[in-house]
Amino acid sequence: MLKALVIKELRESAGIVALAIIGAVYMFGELTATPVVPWQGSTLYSYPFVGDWLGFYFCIVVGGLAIALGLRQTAWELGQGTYFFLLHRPLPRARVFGLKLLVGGTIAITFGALLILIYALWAAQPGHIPAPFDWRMTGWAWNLWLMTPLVYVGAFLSGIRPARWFGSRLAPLLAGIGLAVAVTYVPWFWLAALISVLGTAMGLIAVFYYVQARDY
Amino acid sequence: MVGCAHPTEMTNAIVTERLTKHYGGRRVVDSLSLRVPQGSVYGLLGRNGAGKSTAIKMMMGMVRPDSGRATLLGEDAETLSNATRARIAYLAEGHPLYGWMTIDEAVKFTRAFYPRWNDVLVDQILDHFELQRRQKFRRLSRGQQAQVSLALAVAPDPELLVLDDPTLGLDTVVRRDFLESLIQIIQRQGRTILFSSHILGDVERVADRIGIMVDGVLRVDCRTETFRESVRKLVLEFAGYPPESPSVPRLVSSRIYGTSLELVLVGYDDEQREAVEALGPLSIEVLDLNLEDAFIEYTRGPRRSLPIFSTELEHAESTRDQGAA
Repeated sequence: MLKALVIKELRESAGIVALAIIGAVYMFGELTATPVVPWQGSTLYSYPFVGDWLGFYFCIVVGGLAIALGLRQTAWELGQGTYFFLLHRPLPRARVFGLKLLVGGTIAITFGALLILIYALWAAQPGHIPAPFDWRMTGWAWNLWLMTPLVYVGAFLSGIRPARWFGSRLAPLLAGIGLAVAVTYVPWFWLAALISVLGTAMGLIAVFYYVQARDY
Repeated sequence: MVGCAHPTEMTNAIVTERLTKHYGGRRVVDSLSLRVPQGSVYGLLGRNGAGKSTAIKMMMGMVRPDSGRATLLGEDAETLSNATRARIAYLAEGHPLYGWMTIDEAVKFTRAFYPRWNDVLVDQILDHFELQRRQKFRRLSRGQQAQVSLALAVAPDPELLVLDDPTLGLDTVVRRDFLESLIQIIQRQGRTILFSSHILGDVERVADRIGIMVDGVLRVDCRTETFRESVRKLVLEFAGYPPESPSVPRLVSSRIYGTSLELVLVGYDDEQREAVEALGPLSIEVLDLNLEDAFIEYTRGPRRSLPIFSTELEHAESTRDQGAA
């Protein structure tokens, strides 16, 4: 039954992941000066990971993926009424949502890591940038990556937490984005990791509270 | 309230005790105490917004009651074990299922959760309704979606089926077809079924007990026949203008049409007869109502629906049954 649930979550995430892949291809086109659409240029104006637009594109592509996944897995089911079907299956509610989080979180986190790795591998290839490449240059990008679980869990919590109006419904997502901004500006990776882990853990505790306590 | 004595020795598949729920300060379900005996088909009736769906959601553990409790097959609804949940089928209103799934995928997905699964029955139901397994759920008509949901609900061989307005939005022919399938399933297995509806014809065809909710309160809980026999409509003719607020015991509603006064009463005993005669009508006509008329009269009255207890009637019935046995 866990396999059936995983397959369902993957199938439902496929469209969002496909859009994120398109976004990532566009991002690489911009960052590596390899045009994939006619309006992209073929001249590299900045060094990878140093003064480039990675932060902007990462937030759009991976942040967007995390938000879309989190809301798709929760608010969409609520809107469609399919929770009544899903949650009546003989499986603990916490396990159903735990599995959703596992699938969605893995997709978002892996996707973000792959983007950074692929970009770094490209930059590390001789001839791609007019300077030596050092892996330590990717340091800040990993801070960016740490924002992924915060945004994803914030979106998931927004979708599952009952609220009276749209603004308060989005409060957990805004909190997640706030922590994500903090993570990207913290100069030490260990502190960024600590903020990310603690923030994500708090979000998960809230998720598991609401899945048991809320009305469907 | 129309109430019936529940034979105490009979096991109840569903028991609710003073189940109450508020939404935004409004009491949607008010102290619902209900017993659904095992093996019975119980129709929960009420107009839109009467609280039927909320009551069912509380029974299924989808909504937390503000107070009171519900037990299903002997277990608390809020902490149902997986084993017990597997013995209960629940069809939510609107037959929600994943639109992107084909019927075949929906069957495979649902089957993965159950140790017992009757593939033959699923095939029979799908064949009966001429449904193709490769059809996507979102491309099916509402009637077909209901049919697929029914197939998925009964395939794990549940002991208890809870259906929240299963015929909502279906046209007359599909509704009849759906209910006939439901009857076949009931007859074949002798299951307990609780279903809500606001269409009396549906209930009359299937249910052997009914409950009627009015403004969140269960006002009727008895055998279908008992309810039909309990509600009486009287047409009184007067020489002049009829009295506006007639004082008659167990009056559900009264309406004036020219020189006629229509009264809807629960029962019609000597006490009520005397009170009616005291109004001084020229003539009194007592009309029997069919179930639908009885329901409409009972639930739309300008007065608050009157609780009806028919313990005596039920007791007499049960004594007769025992005697016959």
